[in-house]
Amino acid sequence: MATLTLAEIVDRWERSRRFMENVRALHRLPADPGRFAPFPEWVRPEIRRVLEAQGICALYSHQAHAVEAVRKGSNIALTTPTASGKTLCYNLPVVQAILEKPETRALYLFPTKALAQDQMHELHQLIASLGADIKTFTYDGDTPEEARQAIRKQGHVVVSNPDMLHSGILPHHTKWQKLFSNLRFVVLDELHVYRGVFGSHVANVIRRLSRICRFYGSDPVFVCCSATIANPKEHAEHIIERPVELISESGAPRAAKTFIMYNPPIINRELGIRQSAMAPARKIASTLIANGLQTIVFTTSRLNVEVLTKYLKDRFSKGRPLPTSYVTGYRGGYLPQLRRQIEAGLRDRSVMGVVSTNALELGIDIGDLEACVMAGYPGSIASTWQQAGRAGRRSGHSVAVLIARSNPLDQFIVEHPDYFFSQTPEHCRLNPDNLLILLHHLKSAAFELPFERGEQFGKEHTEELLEYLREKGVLHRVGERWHWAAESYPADEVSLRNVTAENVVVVDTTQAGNHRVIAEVDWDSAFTTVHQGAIYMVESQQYHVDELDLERKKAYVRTVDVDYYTEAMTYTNVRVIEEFGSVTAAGAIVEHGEVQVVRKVVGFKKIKFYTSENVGYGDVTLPEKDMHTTSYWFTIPKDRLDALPYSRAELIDGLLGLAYSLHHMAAILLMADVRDLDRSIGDKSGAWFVKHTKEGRTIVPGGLQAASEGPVKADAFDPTLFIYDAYPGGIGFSDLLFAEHATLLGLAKTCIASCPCTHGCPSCVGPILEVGARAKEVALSILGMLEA
Amino acid sequence: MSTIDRLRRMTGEADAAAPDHDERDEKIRQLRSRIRQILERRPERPAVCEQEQEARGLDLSLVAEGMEVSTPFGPVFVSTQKLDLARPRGSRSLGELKEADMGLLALLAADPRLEGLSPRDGLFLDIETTGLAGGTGTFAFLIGLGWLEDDGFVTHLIVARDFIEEPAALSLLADMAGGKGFLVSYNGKAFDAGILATRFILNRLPDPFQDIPHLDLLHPTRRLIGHRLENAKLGTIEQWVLGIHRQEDIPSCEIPQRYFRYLRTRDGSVLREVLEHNRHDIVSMALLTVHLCELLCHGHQAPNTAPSDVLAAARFHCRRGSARRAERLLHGLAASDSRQVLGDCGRELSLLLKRSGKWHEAAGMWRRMLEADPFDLFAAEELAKWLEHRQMRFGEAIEVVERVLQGSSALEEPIREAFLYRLRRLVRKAQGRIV
Repeated sequence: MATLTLAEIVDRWERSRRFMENVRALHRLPADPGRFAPFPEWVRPEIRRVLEAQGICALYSHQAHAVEAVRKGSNIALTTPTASGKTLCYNLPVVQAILEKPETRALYLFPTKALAQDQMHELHQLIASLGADIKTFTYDGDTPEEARQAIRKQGHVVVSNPDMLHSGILPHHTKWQKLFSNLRFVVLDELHVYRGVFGSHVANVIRRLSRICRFYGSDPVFVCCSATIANPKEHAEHIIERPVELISESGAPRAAKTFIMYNPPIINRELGIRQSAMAPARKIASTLIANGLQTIVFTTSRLNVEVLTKYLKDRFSKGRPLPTSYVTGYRGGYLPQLRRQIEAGLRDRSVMGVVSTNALELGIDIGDLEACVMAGYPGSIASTWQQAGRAGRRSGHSVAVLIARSNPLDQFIVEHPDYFFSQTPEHCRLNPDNLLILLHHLKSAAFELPFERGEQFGKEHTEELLEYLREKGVLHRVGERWHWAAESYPADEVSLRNVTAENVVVVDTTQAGNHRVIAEVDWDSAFTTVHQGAIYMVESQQYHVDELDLERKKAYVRTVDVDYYTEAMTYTNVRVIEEFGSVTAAGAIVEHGEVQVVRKVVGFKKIKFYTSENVGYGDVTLPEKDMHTTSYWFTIPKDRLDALPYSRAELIDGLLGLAYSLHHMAAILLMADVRDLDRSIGDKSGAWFVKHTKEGRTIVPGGLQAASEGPVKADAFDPTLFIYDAYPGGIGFSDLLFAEHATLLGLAKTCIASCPCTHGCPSCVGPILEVGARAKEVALSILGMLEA
Repeated sequence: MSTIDRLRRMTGEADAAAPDHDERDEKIRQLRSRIRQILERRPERPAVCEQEQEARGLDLSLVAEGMEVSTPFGPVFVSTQKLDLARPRGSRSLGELKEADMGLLALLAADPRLEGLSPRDGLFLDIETTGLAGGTGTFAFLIGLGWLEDDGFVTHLIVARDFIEEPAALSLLADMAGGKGFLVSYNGKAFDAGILATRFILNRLPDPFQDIPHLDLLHPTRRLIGHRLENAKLGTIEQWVLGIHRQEDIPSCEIPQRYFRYLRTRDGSVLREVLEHNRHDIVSMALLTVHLCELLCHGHQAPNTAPSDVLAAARFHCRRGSARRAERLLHGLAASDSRQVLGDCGRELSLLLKRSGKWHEAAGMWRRMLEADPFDLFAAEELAKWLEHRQMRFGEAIEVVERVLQGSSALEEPIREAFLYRLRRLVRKAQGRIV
């Protein structure tokens, strides 16, 4: 069978009525010749010679702008696209400065080790061709002990990550005296990754870095690079707490790309159910791979990686034997060695198809692929462009296909393609003054240098917090200073990326006497993915979880071959601790403040492959997890609801549907991941809450007195709808939602009212089986009442 | 609401006087404190607490000989003692330090700069800290020093009675270290010197130890003696090698908490044992220096010495390029009657001789070893190799190999096979088919 070229495949798609019926946008992004500027006068001739030898005879306009700004000492934020030569924007001024003054030092921070390795490679090449005595080293958890001393003393450019800066470098800053005394440049790449919890931590690490630099008398320039977001300047200024100059206009040439937005057909208008995104993803990827076009498929969950890999492997092993790596999965949780193998396979094209989570989104070198299929909106426009950028990074025609799922976020994006292709509305937000996060870093900072009276760290009252730590006995005040006075090493107490740093190890016990570790799962996911009875999948192999031993942090599994996978069911109960603010809007009481959240995994569903039928339930006994966080909520007095012409049960359904929609719209409004927020319906005291059970939706007593189950009188309370930060202490979303209450209701109304389904669907109020047949109608009525 | 009230609320410490506190509030409070524990994961042991601050105990000068010393950076407390050189301490005395061979100390330190110095130039150093975590938050509140003088061994323990006295303590340390030529410590390269370097930088003072030769006794001790002890802690060495038994010593891990207690109570008596412990460590370091010197010089004649120590000493000399010294130690040991010792030592000595080209002497060793133990496989193999490859005396070599093969029936198969292979080759060579 003759194979088709990429252009031919796209043409066929465009001519196919069946295909185009589901296409919401087919955008041909033209090639762009780029805009250039000459090298600035001050660039040393040897650097110019080396760059010219690499074929770089002029700079892109944004590069010229950036290197001038950095040389002047301005902090900059660069937001030009993938492969627009951002690296040179900092490597050029850094190398120039080191050649002019060899004591000069620079610190490069990347969010992942893999990215740091990539950058090292590029900088090494530049330095090697220069023949200059410039030493660059990566310094991370993998750096051997014996190499560390040399790096600390001699490294001109130290490449590391925020985690290492936090736990390995700053607490030992005296060993890095040379670096900190001469630090002139700090590079923060992938700045948009530093948002939410991680960003709040990183902003504090930068505060600590600045404090140490002040001690050694240095004042470095910050070069920040970010994917395109709506508030790059503001975001950079939040992270580094300094004024920043924004450079966003790219002068780099661009290869042509076809971008397709695909919305799977509605297969049940009654239920508002669309075909799963996985089906077209499988079909499109199969077509591309079968025609010898190397393809990467991004899915939004680890589970989907395994499911889709299995489908594709099945498809390509039909009829002819193929190497097992022809199509493969890739995700966090695979052991590093396997991941390196897959990356190499992609580069030498022995792997023609890879199904991945966003683990491959950031610049890990996997060569130039021809096609990218996204099964599900990656959650942000920035991530979507980065994933699409994995195909055709440098040259040639490439294609990117975004396939929407049923959820409101995906639907909103594909049904409003202009929103995607024009100015991005996405903001990065963080809250470095989250008290719990701030306090952790205050401890680490005190460990690094004693605090002086009058010193300000963050925006809260520093002295009050220092006195609090003194009462706790970890600081000792003498005269005007607070000294660290405990035996512990505070940086080890907190991980920048997770609430708890512990992982659960998954052990395969299929072969007695030959138990082996097959994966690691972080603590939070362990409760929902490797609970007893779960089907856990690695590389499409199914494993049955026999036991989850939380104490030893191990899950024991054995291989099985069954036709279903599992999905955990959880319940959540929220109780108000304190209100920070309260207004009355159209008869509803709108508030925000502190809440206590109790969550528990109560069971799981067994879902059949291909048909997604629910084929059974299982029970799970795991401890509750509780959390203290901030929330936005509103309470509707029950007599107002009773005025609506619906039954109590229907009203509850309507509220559930409304909560579903508000949750998703809040994520859009805040530019947050849906998982950064959560929702619940109950009453403010936590005495009652709405729970999904096998039997359906019921109202049960609060989870604190371990559920003496059974439905209760539904009219016992004024229902309250909570949208809360899914992180202890909160990340600052709630007060924004409180302020934007009206906007949020407006968005939800647009979303529900304009949805083509008849009774409600996953795109508006949630799956009809979960929220009931009248949820859409009731939700709209409630919204109407709330606007009145 | 104030920052701190909000924080207390979040961590579950909010005042119990809150409006309605029924049973459920209590439950929630417990939950929140659990959250706090989860967040903190490793609970800090409290160091300083408000209430105790008021209590005033004994001044430090009343519990340890010493006085406040003033420096340009303010006062600091120093406890000084001059110790008798002649008094026996375990199996040693401090006076022996006078005779220490600087050449050997230079070998121990792997630093030839020591050769031109005298034992009086040595500064013995041991610090006590607020923790073992290292890093910038670890504070050296006690800096113990010791050195040799004509009429005694002087110890100075510099104690910072609060963080504020650190600059004074460090400047005094720099003064005292000023005239000294080398540093002696136990694990000081990895710990004490690193911590002090950090403290000097944090206080913006020049580090007096930057280029000074440093004899860290831990590494040679591990190499020379550690192999026969369960660990290389100074206390263990004292007990098994120096013949000293400490009484009522404070465990090292309790020291930080003692200092934190002192900070809040100002009761000097809680530090008494810490000072004694530190002074004891310094004295032991001096005695250990004497012991290591003697072991390297006189081998088995040193007290509390096992034959394996001497073997280790010989190997140590070899590594440092002094085969003659190694030979001397081994010859002394080889005179021993113990078959075991002769075996181990002969093996080592013969290899040493072989490596330095003294083949005939080495062969003599192997023959003696075979006389003492006819089935010494090592000696038999080495002797056969020498006869075959160096001497071409195939007949004699065959005799050696056959004796082993006939004599010992319990040979492990691979070894037996190797000897048989050698025998076949020797026979061929003897028959002149291969030369």
